[in-house]
Amino acid sequence: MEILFFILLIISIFVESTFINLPLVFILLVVFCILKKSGYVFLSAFLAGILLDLTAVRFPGTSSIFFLLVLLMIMLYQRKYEINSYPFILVSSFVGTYMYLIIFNKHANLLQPFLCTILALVLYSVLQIREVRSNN
Amino acid sequence: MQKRKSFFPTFLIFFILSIFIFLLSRLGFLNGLTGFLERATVPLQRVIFGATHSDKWGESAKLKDENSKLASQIVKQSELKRENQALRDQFQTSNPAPRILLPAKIIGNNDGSLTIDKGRADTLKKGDVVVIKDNLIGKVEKISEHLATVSLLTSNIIFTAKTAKTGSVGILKGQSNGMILDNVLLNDHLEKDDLVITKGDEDLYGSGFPPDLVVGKIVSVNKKASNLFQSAEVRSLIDFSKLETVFIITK
Repeated sequence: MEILFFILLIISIFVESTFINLPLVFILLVVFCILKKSGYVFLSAFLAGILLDLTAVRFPGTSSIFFLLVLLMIMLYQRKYEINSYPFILVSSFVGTYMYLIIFNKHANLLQPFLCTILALVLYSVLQIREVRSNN
Repeated sequence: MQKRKSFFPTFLIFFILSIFIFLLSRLGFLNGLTGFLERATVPLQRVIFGATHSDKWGESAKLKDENSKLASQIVKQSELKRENQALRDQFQTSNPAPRILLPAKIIGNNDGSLTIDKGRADTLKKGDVVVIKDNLIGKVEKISEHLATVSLLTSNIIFTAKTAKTGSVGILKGQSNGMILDNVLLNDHLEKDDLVITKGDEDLYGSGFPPDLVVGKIVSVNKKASNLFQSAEVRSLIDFSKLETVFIITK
C-alpha cells in the first residue's frame, strides 16, 4: 500500500505541475491519511509539498504548510469521530480542494472541487478494497 | 490521548521544518539549492509535457490560414514602418533599444499560465514580455532560479491596445474565456475580424508591452447607443494549449 501510494504521489506531483489543474497530490494525501491514520503521512506531505513547490514555481514550503495543517485537522477530528467513511471523504476533499484552489490559484469554481471529490471517492474505494483483500 | 501523542510530535517537526524552509527561500538563502533541484526536475517535466502536448493534432491548418491573413496585414504594416523610419531619419531620432529574444521551452500549461524552463539564471525578470513570432502571449509573472511562470493574455492582464485598421484605442482585459477590448469611444469604429495590437505603453523602466504586437482579432462588437463606451470580444490567433516554445523579449 505504501509503495503504491508513493508511486502515485510522484506521478501526481509531475502531472499536477505540468498539465492538470487539479490538486491531485492533496487528494492523495487526504485519502491516504484517512485510510492509514499514521504519522508517516506527515513525512509524505512534507516531501511532496517541497517537490510540488519546486516544480510549480512557488516558494518551497508553501504547499507543505498547507498539507500539514489540513492533515493535522483530519487527524484531530478522528479522535472523536469516525473518519473512515464516504461522507467524511466527500466533505473533506471538497472543502480542502476549494481552499487549496483559493490559496494557490487565487480563484476557484465549483467544478474543480466537484471533480476532485469524485476522484477522492473513487481512489478511496479502490484503495479500501485493496486493503481489505490484502488483510484477508 | 495515546493517538495524539503518536502523531503530534511528527507533525510539529515537519511543520517547523516547512516554515523554516519557506522563510529561508523567501529571503533568498535557498536559491542555489532550489536551482540545483529544479535543474534535476526540469528534464522530467519537459518529457511529460512533450508527451502530452503536441502541435500535430489538426490545429496547424487553421493556423496556416490565420498566418496567411496576418501576412497581408504585415505587408501593410511594413509599408507604414518604412514611412515611419523615413520620418525618424528625417528628424534624427534614435531607435528604441534593441531587443533580444530568448527562446524557452514550455514544461507546464495549466490554469491560464505557462511554466517555462528559463529563470533568473537566464537573466529573466518579472514582467518580461513573452511572444511567438509577432503574437503576444503574456508576461513573466513568477520566477525562480531555472523556471518561470507566464501569465497568459487570457488571465487577468490589463493593458492598452488598439485596432490595426481603424486605430481605435481601448483597454484590453484578459478573461478566462477570452479577451475584451473595453472602454473604446462610441465615435470610434470597431469591426469584426480587425486585428488588435498593443499600443506600446511602457514606463521608464521598460515595463509594459512593446508596440505593434498582435493580441488577437475581434470576433464580435458590443455597441449600444445608451452606453458611454463600446467593447469587443477579442480572440487570440494562437492556441495557447498547443504551444511548445515561446520567446521572451529581454532588453
